[in-house]
Amino acid sequence: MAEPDVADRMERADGHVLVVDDVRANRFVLERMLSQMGCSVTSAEDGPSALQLAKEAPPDLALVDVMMPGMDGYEVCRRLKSDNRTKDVPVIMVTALSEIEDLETAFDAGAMDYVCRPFNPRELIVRVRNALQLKHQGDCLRRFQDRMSHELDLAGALQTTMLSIPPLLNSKIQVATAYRPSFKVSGDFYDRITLPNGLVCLYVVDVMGHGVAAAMLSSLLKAIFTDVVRSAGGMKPLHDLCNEVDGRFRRSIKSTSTYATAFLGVYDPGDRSLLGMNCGHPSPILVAPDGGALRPFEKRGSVPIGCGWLGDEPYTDGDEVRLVIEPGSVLFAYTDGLIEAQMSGDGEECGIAHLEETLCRVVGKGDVLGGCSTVMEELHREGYFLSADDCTAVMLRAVPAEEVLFTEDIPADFEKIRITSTAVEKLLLKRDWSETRAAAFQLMFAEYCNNTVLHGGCNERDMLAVHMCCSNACCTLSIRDPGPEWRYPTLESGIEMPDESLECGRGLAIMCRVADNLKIYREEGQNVAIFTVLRYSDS
Amino acid sequence: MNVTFEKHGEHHVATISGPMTAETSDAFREQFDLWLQDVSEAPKMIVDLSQVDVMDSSGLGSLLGALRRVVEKGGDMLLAGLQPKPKLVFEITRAYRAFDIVDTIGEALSR
Repeated sequence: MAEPDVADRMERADGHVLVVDDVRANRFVLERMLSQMGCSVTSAEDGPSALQLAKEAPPDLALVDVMMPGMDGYEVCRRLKSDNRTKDVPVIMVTALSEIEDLETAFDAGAMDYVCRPFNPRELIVRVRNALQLKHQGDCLRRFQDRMSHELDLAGALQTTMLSIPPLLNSKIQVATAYRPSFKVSGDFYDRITLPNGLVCLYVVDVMGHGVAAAMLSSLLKAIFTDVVRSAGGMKPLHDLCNEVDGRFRRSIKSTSTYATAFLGVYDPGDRSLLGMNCGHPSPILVAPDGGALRPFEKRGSVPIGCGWLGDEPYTDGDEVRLVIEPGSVLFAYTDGLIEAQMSGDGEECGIAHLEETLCRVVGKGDVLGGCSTVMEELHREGYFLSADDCTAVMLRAVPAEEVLFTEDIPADFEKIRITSTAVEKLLLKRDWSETRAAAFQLMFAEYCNNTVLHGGCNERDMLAVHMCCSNACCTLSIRDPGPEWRYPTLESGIEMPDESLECGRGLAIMCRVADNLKIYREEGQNVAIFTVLRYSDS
Repeated sequence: MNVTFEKHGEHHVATISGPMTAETSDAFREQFDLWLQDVSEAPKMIVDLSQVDVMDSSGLGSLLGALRRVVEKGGDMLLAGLQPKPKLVFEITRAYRAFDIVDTIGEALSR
C-alpha cells in the first residue's frame, strides 16, 4: 500500500472533513488518508444523514461521492449550498473516471473541486489541503469583516450621536436638521452654534469621499470649525473664519488631494440678516412664504476648504453674500447626496429643480422640525436611492412674530403645570383649534411636565423653560428641564401602551400618541423635549 | 378633588368631583383604600365621574388601582358619566377595555 509513503511526504492539514459515500470500503480509505493528514473525519453513508451531520456541526470540507442511491451527490451539494448554516462548507465531489463528463453538473451544484477514483493519493491530499486552506482563509476574512462591521456600527452610532444636534426653537428662529450616512459612517457634518451676542452660526460640510477616511477627516474638521467659530465669538468677518479653518485643516492634513465643500452662515435674529459663505458647495435654497424658491449663493463663493487651489487665505469679503430672511421664509442647506441621488431603474438624478419642488411642497405643510427628514423621506419614496452618498440637510426658518404663542419659565410644580397647560389650551382654542385637539395638547403638555416631577426628580425650585410657536399648520412646543437624562432609544423605538393591569407608565405613551413628532435631546445639562402637533391630525 | 361614598341599595357609589391628575391621585388612593377597608362584603361599586372635568395618566392609574382592589375583594366596578376630556384619556390609552363604562349614574343603578 502506498499510504505510509505518502503520509511521510505530505504536509499536515488541520480541519474537520465530512466524508459522504454509500460504500463502506470507500469511506474507510478516505477516513484513513485524511486522518493521517491530521484531519478529524466524520462519515455518512447517505445524503440525508450527511446533511443532518453538516447542520449540527458544519465541517470545514465535505467530500461527497456522486453516485449514491436515493439522494445523489449533486443533490447533497445543492442542499448544503442552499442552507444558511452550511452554505460556506466547500464541497469536493468524488467521482469515477467514467463519470467525468458530469463535472459541469457538479460545479453548477456549487462544488469547488473534484477528485477521481481510483485516487492518486498525492492529488487527493493536495486538493484537500488547498480546499482546507481556502476555507481557513475565508473564515479568517469573515471574522475580520464581522469585527470591522461591528466596529463600524459602533463608530456610526457614535458619529450619529455626535451629529445629533437638537433643533433650535426660539421666538426668532427655528433650526432643524437631518442626516443619513451612506455607509455606517459619514463624511458629512453640520452644526449650529449660538454665539454670546445672540448670533447663530450654522454650517454644512461635505468631506470628499465617504466611509472611514472621510469620517475621520470630518471629525477633525468639525473640531476645527467649532473651535474657530466659538473663539471668534461672532466678532470676526466670515471670510477670516473660513481662511482660518482652511489654514488649520491644510496644516493638519498636509495633503493637497483632500478637501471639503462647505456652506457657512451667520444669522442675526435681530435684523433677520444672514451672511453666508459658499465654499464650493451647492447653494442653499431660500423658500419664500409664498412658495417661491431662490438659490442666493450660486453666483458668489469660492473654492472648497483645504484644496489649496488659490494658495493661502483664499477667501475674501467679495465671496460673501448677505441676505434677509423674511418672516416665514426658510433657508435650506444640504449636501450633494440629495441632488445626486439616482432613481432606481433609469438612473435619472434627482437634480436641483426636483429638490426645490419637493422642498417647497414640504415647507408648505408647515412642519419645520420634521422638514429635513420629510424631504429625504419623500425623495426616497419616489424611488431615489439616497444611500449612494451621505445626505445632510439643515433648515432655518425665520419665525413670524404672530406665531409666538407662549414663552415662559414655569416652576416644576403640579399646580403651576396645571394652570399653564390650561392657559395653553385656551390659547389654542383662540387660534381656532378644535376642542379635542386643544385638549389633547393640554394633556400631552401636562403629562410631560408632570413626568419631570414624578420621574425626573424636579421640584418647585426647578424651572421648566417653555416655548410655543403656532403656525396655521402646526404647533411646536419645546420644554427644557434640568432633570436627569431620558432614555432616548426607548423613545425612538416607540412607546407601547402598558397593559391594563399596570397603574402607571402611560404618560410617555400618551405624549407619543398625541405628538406628531417628539424628540428628546440632552443639551448643556438639560433635557430638551420638542413636540410638533399638527392642527389637523390624521389619527 | 373630593370623593364621597354612599350606599344606594345594593350599590356603593363613589362620587368624585374635580380633577383626577398627578396633583390629586395620591389623595384619591388614600381615601378609597380607607373606605374599602370598612366594606365587609364584595362591593358592587359605581364610580360617578360626571363631575371630573380633567384627568391624566396618574388619575387614570389611580382608577385602575381602585378597580384592581375591588376585584380582589370579589366585587365589580362600573364607571358612569365620563366627561369629554377624561374620555379622551380613555381613548388615547385604550383604558376603556379595562372598565365597564355606562353613560349615566341612573343607568348604572338600574343594572
